[in-house]
Amino acid sequence: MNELFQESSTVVRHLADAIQTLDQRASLLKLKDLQTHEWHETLRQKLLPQLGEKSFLIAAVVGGTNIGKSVIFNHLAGFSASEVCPLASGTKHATCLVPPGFTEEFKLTQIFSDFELEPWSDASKAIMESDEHYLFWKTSQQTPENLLILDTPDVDSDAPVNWDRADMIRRASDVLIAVLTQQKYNDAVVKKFFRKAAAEDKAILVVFNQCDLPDDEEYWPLWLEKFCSETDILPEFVYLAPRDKQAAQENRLPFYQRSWPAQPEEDLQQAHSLLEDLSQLHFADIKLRSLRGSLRSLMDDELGIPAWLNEIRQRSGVYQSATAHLGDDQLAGSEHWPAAPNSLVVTLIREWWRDQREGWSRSVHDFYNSVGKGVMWPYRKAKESFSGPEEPLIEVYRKKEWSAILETVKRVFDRLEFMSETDNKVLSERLKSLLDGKSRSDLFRLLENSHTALDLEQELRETVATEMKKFQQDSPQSYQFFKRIDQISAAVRPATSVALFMVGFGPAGDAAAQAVAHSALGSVVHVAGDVVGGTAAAAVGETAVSSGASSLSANLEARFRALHAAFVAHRVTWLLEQLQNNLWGSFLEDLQTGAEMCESEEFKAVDELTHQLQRTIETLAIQTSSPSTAE
Amino acid sequence: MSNNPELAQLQMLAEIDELVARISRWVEQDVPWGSARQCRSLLNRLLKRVDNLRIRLEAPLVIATFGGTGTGKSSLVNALIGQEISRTGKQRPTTTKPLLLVHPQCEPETLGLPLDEFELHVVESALLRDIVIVDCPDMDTPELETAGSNLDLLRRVLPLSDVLIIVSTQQKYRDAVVTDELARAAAGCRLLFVQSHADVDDDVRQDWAKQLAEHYEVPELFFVDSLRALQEQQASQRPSGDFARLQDMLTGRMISSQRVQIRRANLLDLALETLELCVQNVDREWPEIEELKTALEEQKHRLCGSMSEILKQELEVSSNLWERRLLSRVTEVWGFSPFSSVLRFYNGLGSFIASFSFFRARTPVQMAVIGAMEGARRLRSHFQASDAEERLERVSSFGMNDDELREAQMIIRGYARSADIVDDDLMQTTMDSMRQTAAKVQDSFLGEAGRKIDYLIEQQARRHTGGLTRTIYELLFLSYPAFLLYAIGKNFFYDSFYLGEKDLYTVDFYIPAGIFLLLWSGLLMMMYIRKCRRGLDQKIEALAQDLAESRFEGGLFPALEDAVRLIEHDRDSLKGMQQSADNLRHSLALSDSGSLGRKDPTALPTTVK
Repeated sequence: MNELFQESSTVVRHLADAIQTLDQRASLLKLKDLQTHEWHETLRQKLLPQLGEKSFLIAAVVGGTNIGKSVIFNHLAGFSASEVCPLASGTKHATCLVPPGFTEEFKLTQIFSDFELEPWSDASKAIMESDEHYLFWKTSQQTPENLLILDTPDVDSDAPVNWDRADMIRRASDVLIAVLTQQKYNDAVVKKFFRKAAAEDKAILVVFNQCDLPDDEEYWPLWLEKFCSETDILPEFVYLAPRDKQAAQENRLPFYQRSWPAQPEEDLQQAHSLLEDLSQLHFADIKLRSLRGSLRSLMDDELGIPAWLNEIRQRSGVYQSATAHLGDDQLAGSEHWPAAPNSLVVTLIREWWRDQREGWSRSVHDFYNSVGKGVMWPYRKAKESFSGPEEPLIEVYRKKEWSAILETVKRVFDRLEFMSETDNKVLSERLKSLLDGKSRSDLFRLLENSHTALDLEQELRETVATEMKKFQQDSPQSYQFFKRIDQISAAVRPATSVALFMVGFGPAGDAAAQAVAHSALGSVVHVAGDVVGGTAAAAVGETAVSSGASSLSANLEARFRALHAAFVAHRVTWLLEQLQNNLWGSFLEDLQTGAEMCESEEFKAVDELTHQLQRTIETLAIQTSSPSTAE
Repeated sequence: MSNNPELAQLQMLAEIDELVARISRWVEQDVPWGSARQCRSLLNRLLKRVDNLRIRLEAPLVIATFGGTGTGKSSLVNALIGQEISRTGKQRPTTTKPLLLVHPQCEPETLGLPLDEFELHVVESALLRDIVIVDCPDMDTPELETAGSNLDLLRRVLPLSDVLIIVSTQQKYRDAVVTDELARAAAGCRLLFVQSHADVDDDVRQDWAKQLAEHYEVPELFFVDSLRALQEQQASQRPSGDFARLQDMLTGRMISSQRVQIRRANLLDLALETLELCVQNVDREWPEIEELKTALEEQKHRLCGSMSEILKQELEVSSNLWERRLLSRVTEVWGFSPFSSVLRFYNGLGSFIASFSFFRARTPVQMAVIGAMEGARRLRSHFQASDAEERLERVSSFGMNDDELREAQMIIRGYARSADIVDDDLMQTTMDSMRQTAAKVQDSFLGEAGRKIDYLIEQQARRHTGGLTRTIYELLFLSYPAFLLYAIGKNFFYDSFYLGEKDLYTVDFYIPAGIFLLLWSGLLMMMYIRKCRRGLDQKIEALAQDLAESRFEGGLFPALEDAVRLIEHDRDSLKGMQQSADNLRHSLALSDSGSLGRKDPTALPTTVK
């Protein structure tokens, strides 16, 4: 028996730690505060301090406001320990009577961890107004060994802080002395309070205060029956106290015991001492009962830890579906991304090729390139003066890319809007802040700034270099072949150039340039027509190059495509990075974490411990139900 | 206000009627804003209650008991009428269906109450001559707020009463449930506070009054012993203590004479409280609307700025167009004269060349320079001829391109969403409609620009067409033909014909003379154009600046801008109504029935669970 409690005590302690860790990890799921869960407070205020300890009993006087709780407490104390106040909501703090020697054995601060403990000095302290939860304690010779007796604030006045304090005491206690009156026994709030106590299997003493005796003799059984049937309480003892202000004031109010269920002819006028009856209780039994009751409420499927775990599962599910919605692959939209301008790519390839040349072939090519430029100069000038300066190709590309970026961002916003319209409360706050006008315009500003500041040409150049390097390494034979051709072309270059000039190329205009550029591109890395190709392609523009590109040999075309794809991939990655920095922040990561919450170590630990505790409780239930262990 | 109290009352009633009419008019309007819609449903509920109140303005006052279980509501009712009608008892709850106590002479159908909800009792009692009493069930025993529960029934019945008698005891006066429920029920009712069980309980009225003072105006609390009062009356004695005062209050001075005042004040309190709540709701959400407004303004400004920037650039480079406009205007003013004929000739020649050259007006701005009249004609034909594509081309060449439009659309959508304006009709959802609007905005901008350019040309032309300038140029121009004429005449008549010494001038003379004439006229014309152009550049700059700063109407989101204006107007009228309700209440406060308490309508509404 005791070993079982010891065992469950260890489990509960681990469970409490595991819950704390899980709660911290799951903070982004925006769960309710742990403190607002009844089970958590039971765990903290009842089970952790009391499980597995040497047994002592906590008895508390509870009930609605202004019905004489403090009067009854004073009766238990034997002196005026808590001030009796004719105004409602008088008692605001708890008072505790401690048996002699108790504080040496136990630490009150552990038992009542949420209260500010202060030694009792006078009765009026309990009625002072304060946000702090105070508990005034006093050692009293009269108090039976191992019994703590408490006076509590009300459960129904318009000061909700009083209810909280009463609830804290309720969870910690094993015995409740329920004070009821004719006016209040059927109040919804009062019934709710005692229903919780019944669920936690506390021992309950009922005192009907302010009875008009003997008139009320015939009514109290009706009251109590109604109260018990609505709260599931089975009282251990029932007392009646007469309406006698004088006696109450002087702390000599009599308590008449009645048996329950009521005996018809019973009309005893023998005053009982509540304290005596309390000390007669089977402490160990009651302690076990209340601990077991608290454990059971901890494990309640609808209100306990299992419900909390379900809540986490459900919220994590929301994150999962959100993650599915916002998958990167669906948003980036690389299929809509514009390709880098072909002619620019060709120019850059040519540049790269030029850097690979060595020796005499280099100087021959360089010479002819400069000649070519010189020949083309007037043509270019003329073209510029007729149709205005041409926009650099890379700027044209930049504009196209900006359109693609906007398109992508629009898709992101559309997706988020859809989510925020269909979504529950879990993510709505964050979605709202992502979607509001200010964050949108901030995003556009930041994107635009970094986009215009970007050196796209350099990036393209680097991509070209990487891809060409790859080509060089992957197929060294082709590379060598082209290189040889290039060298040969240097040897025959004067001849071809003269020939070209003779057939009228040069300032002749687009048509000739196009034709020559075409042939130049037929072998991609310009073989013969470098003079014209290098210069004409830029002047003639993209049409020529793209039409030239169509005649590429399959292998080279594939290379060319791969180069484009590589560049687009770079650009899309860039955009995703930008979005990550300027829009998402930690959002996507959090989504991921939230979605994987149920798979986390922390969650599994709590789940496992819960099951373990469940098994322990079942064993406990079997053992305590057998009568031999009652004593 | 009139001195005649009768008239003053009528006037007051008319003012209240006017307020209610204003509220119903306000509610009728549809405003595409979440908060405004919420306010409307709130006020709709108010109007229903107001209707009910107005129908029975003259009917007996409905006085209802209100309090927790066991506080002695039924005992109080019995004591008030001096008979045991309502069941009292020690088992909680005793009363489960509200009791309606009426005088035999009263026709309960005229009260406007749903009679099936009540247990009707006709009682011959002096007290009931001008009032009816409703004994309500308690509100603190039921645990569920389901339809058909005690609580639900109570919440339906309480709003129909004019005066609430709040009964409480030493045990119950600070009960949280009762306090919450009172906050809910007290709007639009006069309140009477009674502490019962005077026989056994301590007097806690002072503490109670302190608790109430936060939300209610409480002139007086009664401390009564209902049982004794009933016994006294049954023994034909006059009840003692506070009870007598309470009974007096209900029978005597206030109730019969001030029925209308009470109802009117209730109505006004109710209206005021609801309006306050509405204004609070609206004010809470208002910053979002302000942000949307700023964002719309910003977009407009941006559009305007980029359009005027382009306008400025184009105006500066199209110098030949300016000259043509100026010259044609000058020739128009001068009519027919030698020099103006020269100008006209050159201008015509220039237009002729321009019509098939690069200098033709190609962009919208150039068209604006050509002039409003001619430009408009061209624009019109342009529209008819051009398909959508060409129009879009113009938009992107001027002002905003597709990307900018899309960006603006997304940003504004974000602001509108935060402001809870989610009506898709107000937003430009498709790119096509965005482009159409942009084109319209651009046209109106250019129209404005065209008018300003016309004015500028007119001004410039007038400055340089003065009599002196004209005389100088005409004379200068004519001096050469005159000299030629003189030389030719002298040669013909004098030197050759009379003296016979020299030959007649041959082609050798006429060709250079003609060329010099051309050069002379060209020189003069260039001088004149230079003169005309003086200061024009600065003016063009000023014009562009002026256009950039002008707050021209209509942006890229006309429907949304209209909606925002509507919302602003809507809020103003809501505040106006609140103001007049407040004023009315102040003027009413002077003539208010002083001994009844009520909810303070300006106190923040307590959160009702």
